[in-house]
Amino acid sequence: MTNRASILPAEPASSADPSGRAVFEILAREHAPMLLAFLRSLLRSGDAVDDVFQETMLTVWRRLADYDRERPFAPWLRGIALNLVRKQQQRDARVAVPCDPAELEALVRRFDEVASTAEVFSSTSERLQHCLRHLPEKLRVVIGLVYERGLALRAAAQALEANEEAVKKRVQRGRQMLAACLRRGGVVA
Amino acid sequence: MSDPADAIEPEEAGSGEARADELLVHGLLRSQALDDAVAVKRRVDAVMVALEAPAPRRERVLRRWPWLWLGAAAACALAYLLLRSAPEASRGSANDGAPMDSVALVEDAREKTRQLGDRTYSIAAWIAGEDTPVLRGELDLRGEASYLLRAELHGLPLTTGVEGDAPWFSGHAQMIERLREDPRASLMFAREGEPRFELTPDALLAPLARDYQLAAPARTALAEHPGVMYLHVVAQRTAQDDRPDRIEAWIEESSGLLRHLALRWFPGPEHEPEPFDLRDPPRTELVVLFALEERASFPPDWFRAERHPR
Repeated sequence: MTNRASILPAEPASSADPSGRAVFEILAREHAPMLLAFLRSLLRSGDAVDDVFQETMLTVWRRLADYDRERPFAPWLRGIALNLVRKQQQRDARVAVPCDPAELEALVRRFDEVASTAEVFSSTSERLQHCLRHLPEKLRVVIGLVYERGLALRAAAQALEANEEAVKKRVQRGRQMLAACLRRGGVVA
Repeated sequence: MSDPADAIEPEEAGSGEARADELLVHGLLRSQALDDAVAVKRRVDAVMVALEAPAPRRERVLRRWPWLWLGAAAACALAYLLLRSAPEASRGSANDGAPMDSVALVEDAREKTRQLGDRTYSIAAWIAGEDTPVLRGELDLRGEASYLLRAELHGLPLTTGVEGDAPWFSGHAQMIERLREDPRASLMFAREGEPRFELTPDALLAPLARDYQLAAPARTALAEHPGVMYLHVVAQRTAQDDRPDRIEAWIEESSGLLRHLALRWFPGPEHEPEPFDLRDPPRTELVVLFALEERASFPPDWFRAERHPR
């Protein structure tokens, strides 16, 4: 895999540098889907994702000269995003899912595996679709209601005429099975 | 699309590794549902524009407001609902000896929304304990399924509305910004050279009824206006999101007109509201008031922000 970051110009990026801007744009477009998935893993609301996504990209632009081009770009990008998530969380604890340091470390490690590069992340997304198709119907339906249709648990429970807690358990079970499927496919170690 | 924030929590009993697995899959699934190629392109385009003309503070303030406008949009729907349904609620109370069921009230109002005439409400947003509102504006109920909110925040004109369940606002330079991820972004339109938005009550009332516990209207008198009876309606949020914790409305019983509407966010010790201004993050309750401009007979300080501990 070519590390596109290695084609960055040697000088610090600035808006007056059209080549640096062009390379940044390539990197941003390549890694945006991965960054969004990472933020959605940690943040509860779409508004918070909007905020941190933009802040992350702008921070990357400002700090591009600090980036060690011998190292992969995606983890560096996620590191900046994680710091901004923490800052956001300090302002309002509700925005982020409470994670202890071990959980957070494990999550970062997961992303290092499934999104080491933009291409690997793309493969992960395809693999997830495959896993979804093979999920037991009962779980697939509830995952579809919550994630594809965006229903809150309560609404999903009403749609299924089921207990909200039971639906929550099904969502959790579905996610666990999908993670196991990704692991079997070699996406997560 | 609502944000299934309540679904994000991994199984509590799970190990750290198992919880990380769940969060990973949650992020992947959410992203697959929301971040299609068009949405991602739009986000990166916005970043590239910001590189050219960065205005960090102003953008930040504007980006902090979606939650308020979401609440305001919900309030519009409630205003619409109450405006049309109050006489029915009153009759139900008088004739049947029991207040009209809140769900029936919602359904009834949805049927009647097409007959609404124009009403204009002044809007002010207050932080408890402060004398000057941080926002002033007007809510223009234009008639059939059409609302427009215009306001000024820190000298910036804002226009907002909702089409379907996709809220929008127009900030400086008449740029239109989407407040939440929704593929129906293309439904936005402009009229007479000015961004305008349509609010479809059906799209908002159902979520409001779903995510709020609507108490049956209670008849009440106010010390400030002896002899005038009001219907007091309280909607308490049950969903976990950033909309107002509590919506209260006072409707003049004789006319059925909604006179005041209050949106309240109650920050607890761990949950502070989003700041209006990053230089001075508020740590107190936020109240947004809507007051009917026509026939305004209440004294200016009839209703003020109060602190309501949770």
